Amino acid sequence: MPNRALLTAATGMQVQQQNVDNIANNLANASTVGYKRSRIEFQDLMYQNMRSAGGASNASTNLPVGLQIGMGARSIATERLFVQGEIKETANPLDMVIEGSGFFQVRQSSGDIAYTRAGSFHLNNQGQVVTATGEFLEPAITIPTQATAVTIGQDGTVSVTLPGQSNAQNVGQVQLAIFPNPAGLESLGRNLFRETGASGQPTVGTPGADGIGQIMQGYLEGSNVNVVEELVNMISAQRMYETNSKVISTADRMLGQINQVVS
Amino acid sequence: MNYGLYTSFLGMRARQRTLEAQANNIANALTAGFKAERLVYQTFESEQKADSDKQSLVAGALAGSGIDFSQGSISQTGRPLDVAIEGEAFLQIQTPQGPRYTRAGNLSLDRNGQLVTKNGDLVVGERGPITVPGEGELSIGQDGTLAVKGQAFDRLKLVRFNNPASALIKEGDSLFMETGNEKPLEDVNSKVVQGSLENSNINSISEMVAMINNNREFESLQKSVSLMMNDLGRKIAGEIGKI
Repeated sequence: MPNRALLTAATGMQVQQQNVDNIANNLANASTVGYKRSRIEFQDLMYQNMRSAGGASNASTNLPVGLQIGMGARSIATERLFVQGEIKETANPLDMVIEGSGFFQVRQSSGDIAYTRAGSFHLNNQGQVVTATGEFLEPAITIPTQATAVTIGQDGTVSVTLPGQSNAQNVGQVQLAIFPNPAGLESLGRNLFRETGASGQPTVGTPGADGIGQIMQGYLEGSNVNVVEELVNMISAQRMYETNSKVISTADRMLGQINQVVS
Repeated sequence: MNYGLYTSFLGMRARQRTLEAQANNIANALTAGFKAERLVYQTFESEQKADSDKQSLVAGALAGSGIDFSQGSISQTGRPLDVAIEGEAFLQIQTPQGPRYTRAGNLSLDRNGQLVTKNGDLVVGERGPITVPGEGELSIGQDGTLAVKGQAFDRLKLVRFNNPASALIKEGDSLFMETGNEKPLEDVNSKVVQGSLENSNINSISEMVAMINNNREFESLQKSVSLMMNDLGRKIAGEIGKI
């Protein structure tokens, strides 16, 4: 049945459509701080075995190869690539970059902890360190209003200089979380990720220790989207979409020719 | 029996099957580690009428599908859990249904830190499933040696088959299954490339050319069926006219 070719080509068009959707999201976030690009991955669908390889073709010989017809392709995963993004200097004291693996912990308004790579933090009206959308950094850190300088060390120690004091005063400690499988985290939007059954339990620790990345103050991590690469992927996705549509028109033509046999 | 009609019918059916296989190849052109399916035609003979009258029917009937195991191109991804294989080896995967083999090296870690495929099936090392120690970046050597912080802890199990086209069939999900024709052998010649993925070995241009060619062959066969049908119709009309 040429019908099967039609359906197979339709799966091909569908995965390429999803491919372009994913590329569009990466490109839209090319300038989003801490954004990690995602890659869509495909697999072949099941096969119909019409003749089995190794089956007997007669009493003494076996078929060297079988006859298998595949049913097309599907998207299996959008894999987030946690490759380090470009690091830009900002000189803003509350901007932080994680050099290596790890996530900042953020307490959402619901009380749940979310994770982020976007290290652009701010102060709210009570001097607490929050994200651009107002979620608190966890563990919570409050910067005294009268502080003249904030220093964050590579190990996440936050210290402030107060007027009239020569010694910096320790006001808190930034801690980072790492996961056995960061690609299994669920994206919540707003640069936040949530722990899932696939990501495993977070291990929270001091920056720089046990495989956790270090913190660099005054820098921001850009997205790791490579625009040229995404454009190349987009062209190849569009071409493959087109090729699949050619399969559909060929299958349609063959069906039409069958109808002409009895005319 | 009208052999001409039957022969043409077999030829048309074979070309429909070919289009189905081409559709699958094209749909999977961007599937990592996918290997093209090639259909092979085989002529076969009809029953012999008598020794003196050795008439045999030759038809472009389908014999089977062979998997083209040629190397796909390798793209660099920079992701440490992506591995491409240069050479004829396969990664061994442990599934609930038994061992399977794959060329798709887009591996992941599960929540227990075990190396798995995108379907969550375990990747097999020299000592069974592989658990990656969590305290550092995984590095994979050219021979498949797995190391964290310079400490080797296991090696990917790489197997090969003397004749993979008869030893393996596709199962879907980027996996190959043994047919039982051959036992897997240890591979020593292949090279594992970390941070890269093997693309499918589909060449969309040659696939398109083959598809057009296939379509034209189908058309010719359809024409010959039409001619024979017309001929048949005339004969029948003539015979009926005589009566």
